[in-house]
Amino acid sequence: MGYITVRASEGAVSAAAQLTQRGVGEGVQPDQVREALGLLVDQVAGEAGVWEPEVCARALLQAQGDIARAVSLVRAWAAMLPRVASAPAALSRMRTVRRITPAFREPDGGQYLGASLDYAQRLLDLDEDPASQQASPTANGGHEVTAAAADGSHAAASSIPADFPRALAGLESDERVDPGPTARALDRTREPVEVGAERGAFAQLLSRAETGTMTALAYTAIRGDGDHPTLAELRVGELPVEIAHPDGGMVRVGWVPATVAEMVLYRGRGASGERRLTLGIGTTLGRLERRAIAAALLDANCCAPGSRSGSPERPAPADDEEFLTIALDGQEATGFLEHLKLPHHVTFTSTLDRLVDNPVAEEEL
Amino acid sequence: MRTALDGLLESGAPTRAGYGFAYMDASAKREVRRALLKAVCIPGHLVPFASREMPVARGWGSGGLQVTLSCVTAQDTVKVIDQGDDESMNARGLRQLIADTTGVATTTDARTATLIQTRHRIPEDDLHEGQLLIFQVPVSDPLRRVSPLPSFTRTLHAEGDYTALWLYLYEDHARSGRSSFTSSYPVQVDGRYVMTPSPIPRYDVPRLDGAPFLSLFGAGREAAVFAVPPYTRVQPLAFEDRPFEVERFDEPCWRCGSSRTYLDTEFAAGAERLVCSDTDRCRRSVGEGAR
Repeated sequence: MGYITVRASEGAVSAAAQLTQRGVGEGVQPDQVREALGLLVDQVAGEAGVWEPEVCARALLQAQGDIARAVSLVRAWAAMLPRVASAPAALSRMRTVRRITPAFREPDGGQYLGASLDYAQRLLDLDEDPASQQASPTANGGHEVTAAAADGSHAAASSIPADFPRALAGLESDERVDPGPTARALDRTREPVEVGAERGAFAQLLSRAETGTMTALAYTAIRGDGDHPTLAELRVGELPVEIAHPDGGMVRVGWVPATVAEMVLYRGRGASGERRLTLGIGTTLGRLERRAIAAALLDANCCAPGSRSGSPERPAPADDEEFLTIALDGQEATGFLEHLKLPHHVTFTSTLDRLVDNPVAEEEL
Repeated sequence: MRTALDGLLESGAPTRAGYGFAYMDASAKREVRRALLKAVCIPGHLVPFASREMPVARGWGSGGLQVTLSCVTAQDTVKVIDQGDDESMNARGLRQLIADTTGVATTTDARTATLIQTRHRIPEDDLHEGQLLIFQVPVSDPLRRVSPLPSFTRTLHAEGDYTALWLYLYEDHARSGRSSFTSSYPVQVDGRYVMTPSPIPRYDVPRLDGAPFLSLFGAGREAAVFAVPPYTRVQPLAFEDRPFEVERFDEPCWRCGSSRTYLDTEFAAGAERLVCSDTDRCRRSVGEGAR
């Protein structure tokens, strides 16, 4: 046969897709995925920016667990749905199930460990009885956590007050924390956005960023030059979604699971001898603390004075909103990387043409 | 344009459960069209738009697809090619998606198609007035070569400052005696904006100059569209004494014998041979030769 470009003979696309499906996920239902792999479903929801866990679980099944593909399915599905309303949600009104404040020993409102595997030992359980394989979030550390909910039980979680102030409220009131520019609610999937123009758009980008990419870039920011940020507060819970009723008044239409991190950064060597902390806020749908923390860190880095000081020198990647805007969206990255599988023989022939000496013919000169 | 506009205003009937005519919802289409109108009014200028996630991956034609689905009417006949080939897997997938969600007729014949979505090629047949050529674009900004920062290149475009690109070209010639641009050769449109013609081969670049058809370019991942209206000057950047060069082929197409088309390199049984990249045109030539 010789060289054959990848071309579609009759039914080749569906046949190739079918080949991947053999024996995969038979009989597994989306609700089983939600139950067994809740954090995975949350990650798809977070990276898609769409809280519809049933759809996310379905997408995961159809993508055979490939997160990028599942996110692609969910986003494409949601892209054609109308945006009905934009509803700001106050953090103070979160129905909190977990709240820690690494920066403060005893914050107003207290700390609540909630459900967490943070302090559990990472011993792979080889017991074959599935019932005993449930991870047990017993706290063997957590000395900085008050006793209120240290056993992580739901009963204890329900004792968390309905409304308490942000841990940074005090430092903000006497201006030791610079909250930075106000983030306007903005949907970059519906409005073109210029880099650096809108903090709200950047916040949305961070909120939907690819988890691994964002983690890696946030990591580069803290392992280097000593500008170590501090996590002031981490809250996990559900935010109320309230929209205006046509007849007037606000109506709560539901609750959305979310994680919110607030990070403060001190740039000891920043421009103009700053004496204030820079605030970074990171949010994500679902219970995904790593995502929220990484987002808050990058937000703080990009807001901090000196991060983009206008010098022609390029800032470090984690300080560079423009670079982050290019790198963080998983769909853009995975899609374009994998487009290399598409045929390129036309452009490659054009490249090969440059390898040979092919002088311009006399008559063309 | 009259009939095209009428077609857009009366929306076609949906053909797939859960989705409107041409997959996209009406407001998304309107936004793309508004951006396209601006792009046509300012030839070669990059116009940002809120690129939707599509049912194909970013980088696989999502921009071209949004342009196509925003412009297609129920009366259109659609052709989709990748590398000049109608049967390339991705071209086939895109064509099927367009047909499934619109019910429009499809063809492989560039002469009878009213709307052609393409990746990396302009069909060999002479296209005519009223035809719409929609390019899939991976890298929308020709100044990316000289700066990776959109905030910077936007300013250069606005000021018409293409010094860096000229310098780049000059350095190419000084170093190696020739331009290093392969495909995506930068062009100046209507004497103003420098634009990438998408990665079409250099062979196709002069075919955009003064072309009677409307060219629309969609970059989905980079969320930008741009356009070359019919009968617009499109000049590749080149020095007077260092003219623009297209790819040259020493032999004709082994299949149809054409020496006036862009050829692909095939490797058959260890030997290299050249064959038309435009498969439909090549097949027709072979058929005509046999008659």
